[in-house]
Amino acid sequence: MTLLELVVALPLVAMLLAGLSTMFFLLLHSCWADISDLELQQQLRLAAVAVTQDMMYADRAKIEEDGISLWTRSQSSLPRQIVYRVRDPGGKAILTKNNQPLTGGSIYGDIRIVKFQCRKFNEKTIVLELGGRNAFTGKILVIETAAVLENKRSGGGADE
Amino acid sequence: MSEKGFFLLETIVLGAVLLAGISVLGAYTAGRQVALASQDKMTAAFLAQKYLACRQGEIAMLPAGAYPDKIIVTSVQRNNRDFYVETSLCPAAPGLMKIEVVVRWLPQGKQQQLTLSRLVRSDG
Repeated sequence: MTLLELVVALPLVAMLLAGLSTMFFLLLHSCWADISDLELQQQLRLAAVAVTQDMMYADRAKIEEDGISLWTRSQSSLPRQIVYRVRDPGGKAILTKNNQPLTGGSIYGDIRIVKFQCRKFNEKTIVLELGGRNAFTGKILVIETAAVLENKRSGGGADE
Repeated sequence: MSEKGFFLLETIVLGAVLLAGISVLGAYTAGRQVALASQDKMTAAFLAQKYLACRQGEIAMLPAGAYPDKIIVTSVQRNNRDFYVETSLCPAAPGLMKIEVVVRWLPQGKQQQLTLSRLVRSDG
């Protein structure tokens, strides 16, 4: 190999390697972003299922500005209160159930709650809108669902 | 070795490297589509539950003798996707009604649909 060949070949190899490594890191970043968005989807799904399940077994519900309180009966027939609230620790809004976090940051992403709204459809039905934002990708996802208070007959219902 | 041109081995290695690159990109694209499809399906499932619950609540609160609308068709936009929702009611047995919710959406021009149904007491 002559010096001229080396002078021509080295920049070509360098350019090729630079292109390949850029592609690799872009792909890696996109993969990570997708995993992070999936985390957002899963956290919102689990939170929405938890809230609607508790609504379905609630005797009474009280809709508040930043959450909802539900009263259910445990096996011992003692009324039990379940409180869902949006808390804002350090500007990162999370959804809590009886002060325990349901959503939030994990190794996959930093998930913040941007919307938690309950409204009465009628005396027995509550509509829930739950929105989250992935701080890593900026993606916003909103879930809208509803639940019927099946135990309304035992007294109570949805209050605002 | 003194002849000019590529060896078979070199060609095979280059082919394998190119194939690996294309496979990685293909797998990534497919994974992304699956993730988007799962997001649409989740949104549709929760929407279907919403309309199911609303219809059930509506039936439960109806005054005696009143009869709810049989079919309601509506469209909603959620998470950058248009969903078409059709809810229908039909008597299933004495004292029982069947609520059926069909949610349709069109990802990349190909129609997808999800159907949920529930039996409820028609006397509230």
